[in-house]
Amino acid sequence: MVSKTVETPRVTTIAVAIQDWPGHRAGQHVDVRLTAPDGYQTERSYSIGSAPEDAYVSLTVERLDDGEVSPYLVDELRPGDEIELRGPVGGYFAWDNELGGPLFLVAGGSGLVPFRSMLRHHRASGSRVPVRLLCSARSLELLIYREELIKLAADDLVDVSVTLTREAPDDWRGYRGRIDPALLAGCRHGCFGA
Amino acid sequence: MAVSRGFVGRRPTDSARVPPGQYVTRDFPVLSAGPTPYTPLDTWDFTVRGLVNRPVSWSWQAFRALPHENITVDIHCVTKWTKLDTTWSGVSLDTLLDAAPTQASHALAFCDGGYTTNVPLADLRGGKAWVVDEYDGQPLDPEHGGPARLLVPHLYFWKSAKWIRGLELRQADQPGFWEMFGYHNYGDPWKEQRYQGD
Amino acid sequence: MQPLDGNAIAGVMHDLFARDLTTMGYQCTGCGKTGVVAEMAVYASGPGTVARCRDCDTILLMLSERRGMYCLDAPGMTHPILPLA
Ligand SMILES: [Zn+2]
Repeated sequence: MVSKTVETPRVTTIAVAIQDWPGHRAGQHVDVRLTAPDGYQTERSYSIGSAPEDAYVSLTVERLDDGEVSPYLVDELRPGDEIELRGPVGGYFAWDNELGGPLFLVAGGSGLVPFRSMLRHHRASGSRVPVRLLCSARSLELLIYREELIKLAADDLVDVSVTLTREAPDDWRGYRGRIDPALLAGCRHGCFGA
Repeated sequence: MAVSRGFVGRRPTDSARVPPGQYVTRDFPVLSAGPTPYTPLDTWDFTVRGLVNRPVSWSWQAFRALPHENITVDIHCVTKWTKLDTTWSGVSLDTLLDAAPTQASHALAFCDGGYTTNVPLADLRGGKAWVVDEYDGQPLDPEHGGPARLLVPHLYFWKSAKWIRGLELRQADQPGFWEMFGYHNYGDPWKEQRYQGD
Repeated sequence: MQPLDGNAIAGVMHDLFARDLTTMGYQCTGCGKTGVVAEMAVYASGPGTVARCRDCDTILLMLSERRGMYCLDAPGMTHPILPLA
């Protein structure tokens, strides 16, 4: 593990340097396996949040209080530690430049992680397809990748919409409430000139 | 295999109350092999059928009117968690089986959602098993098997079938859902009977 | 409880078959729906993992690990179709 980035109070991104990494496609995930000194093992799946072009593979992990793996990754793991990964896996929920577009991406909470990989890949590969991202978070503070999303949205091809489900700032001009068919319809309207 | 520095994981709890290989949890994990069924109470019934003179059924109202017992027991899930001192309210299987005299030796519990599990009748009698409709003083939550589930706390918890609708009494044992897929036919947590052959 | 999707079994399936199976096509024996493994509704919290049809809840795949062996059953899916890896 190379570095840790705190995204929100409960969510941390860990970047890992992997020898002989075969490369991944945006949207794929890995299984993280932990082994205790007595041989006890457990594993969980995490989406890859970095683009294939990035120097390190990064995983964004939400800490679950009653979890077994996520508290270890968020609280205990330090730079220099080794972790065991299986993957990358999952070829269905993946996007690369050759697949074209347009893309309409909808995510809630940590479901945003594989989309960051796609958005970064979109930029790094110079893709010209339009992308619309709709993501929900309980509050603006709990939206992961906030700064990066703002930067990515500066691209004319990338449209980022956020809906806040619990609290919103007084001057909030984005969507409110959970993603439902009505919100989706409103968001799709005007999308890609439709 | 590289050891993950600082990782211990969930350790089995060493206690005379906790079966081998189990760890104690304070929350109540929801285990499910399918979507949660929601059966309206006015169409719900509990039926004892199979090797009986005639099947016996209780409507929800009739079931609620049966004598209920308060039960405090430890429960042990084959996925290795144990929860101590869980409190339930329900009807003893003795009460339900007394209404349906039988020569059968086994029961197959059947449930909304298609789940089944098999238990020897002797394990359902003698104050060892209940059909419960309350947990912790509240109506049993659908996620935990409501409106009613089987409670057989001396066996692994998959035997305590959620969303139970009745028992089919049989002369011959018939494996249920997990038992057919290689889980132990009897499931005694103290003997760690997790899988076939244990 | 809300099921996961078929990506949740991608790692195990990759271990077993040494290739990505999330794009494997199938037909449901319950309702005839065709789909790919990634779209299945996966219930992973029980003693074993159960993958069901999203339309009719038919059990398509069951998977469990016991004592170092994987046990796989496919009671409800026919016509598996694999794209070339
Ligand atoms: Zn179907």
